[in-house]
Amino acid sequence: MRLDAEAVAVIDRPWPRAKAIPAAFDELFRAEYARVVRIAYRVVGDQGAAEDVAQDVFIAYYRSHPADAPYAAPWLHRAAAHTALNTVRSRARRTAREERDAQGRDASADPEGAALERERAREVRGALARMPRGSAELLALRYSGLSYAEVAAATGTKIDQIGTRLRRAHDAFRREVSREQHR
Amino acid sequence: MNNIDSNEKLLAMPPIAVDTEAGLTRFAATVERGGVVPARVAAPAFRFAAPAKWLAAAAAVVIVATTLAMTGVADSILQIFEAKQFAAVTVTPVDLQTLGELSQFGTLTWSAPPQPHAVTSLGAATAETGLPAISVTVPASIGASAKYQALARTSATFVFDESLARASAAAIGRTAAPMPAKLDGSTLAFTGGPAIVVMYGSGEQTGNTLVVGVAKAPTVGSDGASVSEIQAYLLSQPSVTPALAAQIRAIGDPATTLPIPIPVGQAAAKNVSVHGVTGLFIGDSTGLGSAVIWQQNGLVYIVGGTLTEAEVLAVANSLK
Repeated sequence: MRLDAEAVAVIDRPWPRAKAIPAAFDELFRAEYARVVRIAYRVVGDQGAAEDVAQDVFIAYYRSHPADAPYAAPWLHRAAAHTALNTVRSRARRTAREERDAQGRDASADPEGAALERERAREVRGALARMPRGSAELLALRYSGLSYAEVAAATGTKIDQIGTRLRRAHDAFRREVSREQHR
Repeated sequence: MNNIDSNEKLLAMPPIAVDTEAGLTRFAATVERGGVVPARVAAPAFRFAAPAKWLAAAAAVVIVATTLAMTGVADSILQIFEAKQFAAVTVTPVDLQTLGELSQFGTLTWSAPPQPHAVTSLGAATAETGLPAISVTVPASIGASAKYQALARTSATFVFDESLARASAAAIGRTAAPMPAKLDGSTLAFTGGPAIVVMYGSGEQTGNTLVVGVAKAPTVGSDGASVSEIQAYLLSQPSVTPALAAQIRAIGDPATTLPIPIPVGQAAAKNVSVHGVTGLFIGDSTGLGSAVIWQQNGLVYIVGGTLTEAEVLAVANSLK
């Protein structure tokens, strides 16, 4: 096994649980994990599923890119939105039986409220899944709390075009939500 | 209420508390359990010390080249490539660093990851794989003790993904050529194996080894992206150097020729005759070893080891 500077840095780390992870990646993970989860959460609407997406995104990055790359954060943000949309798109193909099963599990104190919330979440996910992918990613990135500059970096768009693109994305989203409501 | 206000209401989500430590613990466990290797920090020069990276780069070269083979549009997966012959493609340290992995163009998913495993005898290997038994005349410089490995047939799909391609181009400070809408999401299907590998002399004190392998020729299928779209797209990527693109374009019959990446300055390659067919000889320029690979009747054979060119060809021609 090659013992390089990264490996030495790992040995010197104060966090024993992450000893297999190079120091630079550890820092990247700590800096970006919460944001990656929140981007995915905006799309998938479920924290557990969002954390699964975040894990997949970090693994993909870890395999292929250096932790200290200047594009690390924009890459992770974009990949979070992209992977979450893939998840939602495959979920949209869930069978009616699975939907019924999900409804059966909602034995909450406010069944009517839960049903409405579930319906709203279904509409949002459906709209995001069907609208143009670039627009859906833009909404997910922006509404997870990223600044215009961060959204621009993640999508490879000039910052002065973000406002226009967001407005178009909103129009597309509204059209898809209306379509969903009339199904 | 305008669209934006009502959308914002719909997109609003209850706040969540994210446990980064738990996430990192889970990530570290996945990395350890799966043996996931981090990307190297940009290396100052090409080193043989990273075979996984080299293989990944080799695979990237193969995908770039084999996708050129698509000659038709189909609604379902059609076989568009079968390795029948081999061509050396010289790759430079720059190629190896920038080609990276397949993940720069999309997502590769194994049906089951290839898992070569030891078997007790050649008979066990042939029974498991269905491949014919192979035997060679082992040179005196190599110990006669043999170890056997078998690999089941494996398959993988590769789905092009524009957003990954764009991010990967950004990784080298370039802008990706736009991926045609039809290509984004289209699928290639790869199959490889089964295979048998016999290793002679490994673990013996002389350090001399001989490896003899046989495998069903690998194939590639496509669900319908057109050859012109894929060719134009892949070869215009900033990660493919013009010199590499030119070599790949120059391959005479891309539907049947598997490009073998040869690191420039590290090895040399030439065509040779083996069992009456044309094979590719690859010699390590340090003189430490050489290999020959050829295809016959749908099977790919490889013979390599700490041997000279004459020795490795003699072993290859002794294969029964």
